[in-house]
Amino acid sequence: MKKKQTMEQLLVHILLILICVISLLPFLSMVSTSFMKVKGVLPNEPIIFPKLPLYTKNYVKVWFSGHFQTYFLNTVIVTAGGVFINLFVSVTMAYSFAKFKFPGKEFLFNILLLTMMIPAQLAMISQYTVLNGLHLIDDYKGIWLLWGGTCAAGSTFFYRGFFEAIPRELEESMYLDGASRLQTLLHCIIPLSKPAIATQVVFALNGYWSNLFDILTFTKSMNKRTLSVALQLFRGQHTTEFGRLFAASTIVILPNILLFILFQKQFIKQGLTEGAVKE
Amino acid sequence: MREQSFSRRFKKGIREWILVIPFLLIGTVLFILFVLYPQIKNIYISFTNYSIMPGAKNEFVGLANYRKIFTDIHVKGSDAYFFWMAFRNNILAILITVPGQLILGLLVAVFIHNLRFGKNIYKILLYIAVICDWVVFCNIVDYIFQPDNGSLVNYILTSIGILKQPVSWLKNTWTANFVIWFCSIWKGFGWVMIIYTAGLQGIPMDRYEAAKVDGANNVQMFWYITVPGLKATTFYLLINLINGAMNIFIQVFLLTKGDPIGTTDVVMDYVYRRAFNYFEFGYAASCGLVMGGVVFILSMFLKKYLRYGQDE
Amino acid sequence: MKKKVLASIMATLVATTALFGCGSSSTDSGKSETSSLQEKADGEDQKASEEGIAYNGEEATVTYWHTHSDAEEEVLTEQIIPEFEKRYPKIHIDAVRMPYDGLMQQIITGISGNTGPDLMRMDIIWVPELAKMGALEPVDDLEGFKEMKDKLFEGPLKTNYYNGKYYGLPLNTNCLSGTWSKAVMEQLGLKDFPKTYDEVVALKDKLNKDQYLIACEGPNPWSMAPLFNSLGGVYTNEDYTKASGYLDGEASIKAMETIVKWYDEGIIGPCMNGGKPDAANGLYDGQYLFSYQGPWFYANDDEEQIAKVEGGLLPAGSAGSLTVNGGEDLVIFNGSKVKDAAWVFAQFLMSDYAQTAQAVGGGHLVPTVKSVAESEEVKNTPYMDIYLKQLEGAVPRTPTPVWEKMSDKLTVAFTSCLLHEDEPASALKKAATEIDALLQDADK
Repeated sequence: MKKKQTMEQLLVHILLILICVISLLPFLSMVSTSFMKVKGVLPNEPIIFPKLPLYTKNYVKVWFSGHFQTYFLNTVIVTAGGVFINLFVSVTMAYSFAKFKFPGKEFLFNILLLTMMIPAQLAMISQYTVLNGLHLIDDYKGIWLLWGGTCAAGSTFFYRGFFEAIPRELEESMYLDGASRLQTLLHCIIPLSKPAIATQVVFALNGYWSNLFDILTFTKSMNKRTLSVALQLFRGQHTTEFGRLFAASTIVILPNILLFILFQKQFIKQGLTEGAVKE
Repeated sequence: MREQSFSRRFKKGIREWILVIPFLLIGTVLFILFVLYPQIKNIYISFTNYSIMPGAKNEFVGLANYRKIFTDIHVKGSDAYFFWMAFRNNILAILITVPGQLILGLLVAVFIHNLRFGKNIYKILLYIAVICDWVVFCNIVDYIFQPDNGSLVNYILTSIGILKQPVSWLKNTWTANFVIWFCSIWKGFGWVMIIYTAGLQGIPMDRYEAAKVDGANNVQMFWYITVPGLKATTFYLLINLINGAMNIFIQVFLLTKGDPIGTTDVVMDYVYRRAFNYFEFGYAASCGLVMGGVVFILSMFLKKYLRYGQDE
Repeated sequence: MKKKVLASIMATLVATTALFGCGSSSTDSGKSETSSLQEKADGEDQKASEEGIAYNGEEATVTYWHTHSDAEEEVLTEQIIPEFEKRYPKIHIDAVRMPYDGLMQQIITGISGNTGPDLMRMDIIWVPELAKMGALEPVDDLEGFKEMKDKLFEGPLKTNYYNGKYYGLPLNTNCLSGTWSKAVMEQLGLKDFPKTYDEVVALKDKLNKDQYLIACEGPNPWSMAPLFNSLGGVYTNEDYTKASGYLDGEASIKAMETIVKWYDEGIIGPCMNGGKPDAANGLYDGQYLFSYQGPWFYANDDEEQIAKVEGGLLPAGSAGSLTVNGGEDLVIFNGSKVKDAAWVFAQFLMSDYAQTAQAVGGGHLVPTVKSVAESEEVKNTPYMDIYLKQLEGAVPRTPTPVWEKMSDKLTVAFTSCLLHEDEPASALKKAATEIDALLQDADK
């Protein structure tokens, strides 16, 4: 019996390793290419491991040229603000929908869901008019407000299930102690939903970190730009410099991966509240 | 009597609103400004011959834009033909990438859930593709699917004998569509896996133990405990994944641009190009709304079918 | 902390600017527009350069969008703009490099909110579209345009023409010319570049396995134009109002049939339809004899690789050695609040100084000012002479607001011919009918 289980475990490990290798090989190829001298024309053979000694000039060029450091800092700022407003908006809204009773609740919620279904390609023009009217074009505040609006539907949907699953008795005991709604949210709901929040933070962080179209559309000056925009600049009209493109790409995705590793303890933590994903 | 109960209900409603409004207000205002208003304006645009020039007159054209979507559907090369071609590709993407991600994600999640050690390392490794910036991701895909025999995919497939000759992946209809689906599955299943592992943790262990006592095997437990236990999670994923498949855009925009001859196009890319390359904003808006209508009906159907109501 | 320091610096700056602005505007007030001479006599700081026009407006910042490559951008930001700001201290240039993918969307949203750039360097094909939309400022009546007009090459200038007016200035031009593989030339025993397509095709039997003669980069109207046009094909009539009888005329059908035949026979290589080797690697590795490339090709790879190829004129077909005219135009958006300053900068970009700098420096952009193109300094730039010579046979891309749609229709027709989904005669006829309708729409 024990032996059979060990065999099973081994088999599962082998399968998972195989899946990981397939999933990650292209990334390895990208990183390796970034350490080679490849310009506009791609090499004729796949690069899986870089040739030694490593060619580091791509990184040096990317990092020290064309405001890359400013872009990096901008990305951090705009992402941090975005994640904050995302959290604020979606937690408060999900709390409203999960723990309050008010007329028109389901109607409002269904409108939220409905808007998720219509392609948002053309929304940019109207969003632009709104932000322009608020004089928030070329201003990160505008982008944060925009993200606060666009995250409302999806994130509320996501949190609502988690919040509803938190047993009423816990809150009610707090109310008996004289806590307000806000205090319950801060001291009961949020701590109990940490894993859900961590999950959503990672998603939001991801989306904002790599956002291209919003930044490009709603900021105008070079010094407001972020890494995704800088990355696009490596894809030229006539030429693409692959070595540099991939060096820049590696720099762009690295912090994201590191943050994820930092967050993952929360992210995939055991002991989500019983039935966190609503049954 | 009735009046009174109405006014009482009304007063009660107001009281409830006053309680909730501090929490609801900011999010709702932002939502109305940046999501609802643009979409309502979209509906208006779809009935006009819209010009983006400030102060320009927008001629009201009634249903002309919608009519265009349904005229000459079968005439190769007509506007409607390309729209429905793109629509077909979205449907195919749903049929292929949604089950693909769900099954792969669920299997991997169950595998990982039952591991004794190394859970997190797999989760992290498999999540890298999810985290990766879409632009970066598309560049990598472009790179590994280059058409010569030296590209990663062709090289591996020819050397293990699956392919005899290198394939120009992005230049033929079905191979290019395959690459687009591959993008979705590769980048998406890690997310499905993470959500499922969270869901798996929500299934009480005692159910498995009880089943074991009754002599159930692994497969049976999977079908009779795990799958039903994940019903809500699956619904959440399904809605999101279908949405994702309907909104496929960036990989088409960056990799194929709909070529060859619009056969790999998807609705989002079609709408985008109609609006921003052809300046046909009215027509583009109506295409987007037709698409939205379809997704809406599909979701309602799913909601009813899976009996997942908010207030059961 | 840092932010505060920054803020105070900004505040000081703004204050000084305001003061300065007030000062100059008070001296300006009451003077008529034509008082530039008097202004100079007054000893104002605005001195016109020998070749530019004077600027007497207020302090202004011009937002300038472009899509230059790294090397080209360096010339712009390190030579041209500093020199300009030295000569016109009241005008500041905010040069913004835009990504090429999705650029039109950026322009559109900018226009819709009246916050687009003031000046932009854009692909010549977009000028008529945006002019038709009403987003661009005509330049006919602006100071110095008439004098400048005669100094420019006619082809590039014409790309700014729409409905009786000029909507921009041709900043730089380009075209596809021949890039030849030295190895294949040697193998085939060629001393000179073949003069005609007949000579090229005759070399077919001397090829080894996996070798091809012609590398054309795709069935789109830009890449295929040199081949299609040289073999006698045309897209429309000369007024760009009609495709029927031209695109589906006998000569065009014959040209298309020839192309399909050559593609099937392996005279035109697989990169025509996205296959490998791609044009560049095929040239380096001796698999293609020649390819159609723009001047940017030579900045695109290591010197070591570039040394394997050589620039030379394209062979001639029945219609001569034709090619397609590309390039970029400078346009002023009519939503701009600093049109005067934008125009001054546009003029400066057209000056001998800037035109020479961008031709000799980094990107080797082909100048549009005749005298600059003929100057020794520019002629010595690698392969510049070849492109200038090739440009003599350059056919403009159809200057029409519906180019984008027309181009898609042509691509569809060409692709379906190459894939044998359709015969050239019927594919071109169908495309011609559709393009007729588009061109008619464009005139409305």
